[in-house]
Amino acid sequence: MALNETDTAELDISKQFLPQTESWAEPLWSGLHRGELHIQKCEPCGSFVYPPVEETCPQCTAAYSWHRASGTGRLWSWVTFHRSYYPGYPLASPYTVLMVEIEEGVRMLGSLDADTSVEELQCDMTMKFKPVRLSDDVHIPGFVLLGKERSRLET
Amino acid sequence: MSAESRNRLSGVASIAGVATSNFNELKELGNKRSPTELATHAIKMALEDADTEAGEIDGLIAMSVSAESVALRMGLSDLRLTMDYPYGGRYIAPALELSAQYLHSNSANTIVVVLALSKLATYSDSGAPGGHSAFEMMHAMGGPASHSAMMVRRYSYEYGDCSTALSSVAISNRANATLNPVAVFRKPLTENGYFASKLIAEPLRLFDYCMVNDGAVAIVIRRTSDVSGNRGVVVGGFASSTYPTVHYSAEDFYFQQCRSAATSMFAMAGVTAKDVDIAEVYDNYTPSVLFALEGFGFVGRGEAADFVRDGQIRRDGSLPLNTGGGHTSESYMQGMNLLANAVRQLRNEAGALQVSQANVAAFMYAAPTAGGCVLWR
Ligand SMILES: [Zn+2]
Repeated sequence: MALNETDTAELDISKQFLPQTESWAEPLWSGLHRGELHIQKCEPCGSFVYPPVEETCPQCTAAYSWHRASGTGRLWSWVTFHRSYYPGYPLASPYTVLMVEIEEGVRMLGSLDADTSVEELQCDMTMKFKPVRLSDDVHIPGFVLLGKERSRLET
Repeated sequence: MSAESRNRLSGVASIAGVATSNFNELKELGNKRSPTELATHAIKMALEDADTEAGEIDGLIAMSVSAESVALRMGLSDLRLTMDYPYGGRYIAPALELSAQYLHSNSANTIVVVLALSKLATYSDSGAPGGHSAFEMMHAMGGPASHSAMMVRRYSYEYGDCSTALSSVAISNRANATLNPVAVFRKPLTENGYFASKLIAEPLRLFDYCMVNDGAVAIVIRRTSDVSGNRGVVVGGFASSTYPTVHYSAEDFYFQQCRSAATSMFAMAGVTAKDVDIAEVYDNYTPSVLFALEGFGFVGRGEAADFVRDGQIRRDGSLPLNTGGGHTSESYMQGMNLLANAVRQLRNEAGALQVSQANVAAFMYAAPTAGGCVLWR
């Protein structure tokens, strides 16, 4: 992903916490900057995959193409961490990680956006994709309760 | 291999000797021994227990420790089977099956399975399967425990709040450990004490977690027909089943792999869950006990929490479980200490820990790879 080469703090966040996917997962990272979720799709068999993989589809060995996901999903469950286990991680504890089954049928992890309080969550609620900011240059997958999301322009 | 020919391995192997470190003493000493040294010490004690000489060992299965290092330190030679597994847990049923096959074909006669864990060691025990952990780290996810926490929250949503079932598991384990001189944690635990403990990966609390400690467990396996005296414990059935998951969690709480392993394991042993007197369940985190009780058919789906809350898993209950205190209170030897405790119960040699009516025992683990074994005297 694009990094500010002069900012070593940014580099540390990327090196420490982000998967080193080099260029093959670029659509995921650039999508996150635009507030979008891009996942891989096998066109011949119609299957979606996340987290992204460098390999071909295991069913038909076709190369995956990238596809913008609807960004809507069902909350399967979540976990709240009450202390920070990883020095340097930008999000303060307590922080919450969700498991969401998105409309494309894939279960994925996302961090809980600050616009939703964990007290509001219930299993099977509808969630909307909204990347969570770790720094100016680093966004990771995240979700907000449907109806709670503010547009990027407002923030 | 057909089920029929596989089932012929039932009863071929017997556990002739077991030994465990004094986990409590190692903790007090702030142990600095290498895994090789811990393993060697446990093997010597297990050989004594089995009334067998080191020179008779011709198979060595080493978990979280190097088989060659152990063999070198013990002066073993001409081993016909050496195998290194990175940890215990999911490898225990395969280790028993492999042992039974070697014994059945006369490829080996005396096989030692040893597990050793030391802070000096470099083996990882994260237990995280698959190659996607990098995509968890960006969320600062804390490994398998985080997924166990997510699963038990979902379980509570589907079947009703089970927080007092988790406390019951932790308290029952601890009650057993108070009677166990080698257990690491022996101070009694109350329900108030449990709920006063800090939340780690909510909904899991401190007392839902296994410990991290040093120690070793060794078992000596021989052909049932070669075990003299009356102290051998027969390995009646074993099975393993993997349904891989992208993350450590599974939407069905590992039901399908547990059910598959249970079906094979009980069929091989010729018993059912109803015949089992004591259960030893891999409690990396307390929810695993609920998932295993349901997956292996001891209760119906969604019924484990009530079963546990009713006291059925306590030492005076219908299914005494984790009789030495389990991984949360005795020691985290990745299943091997649970197996050792099952053997001692079946031999009626468990001392203060002995429960009445211990004729058939089952050891089980519920995870992306589930499995276990059935033992009897
Ligand atoms: Zn395909």
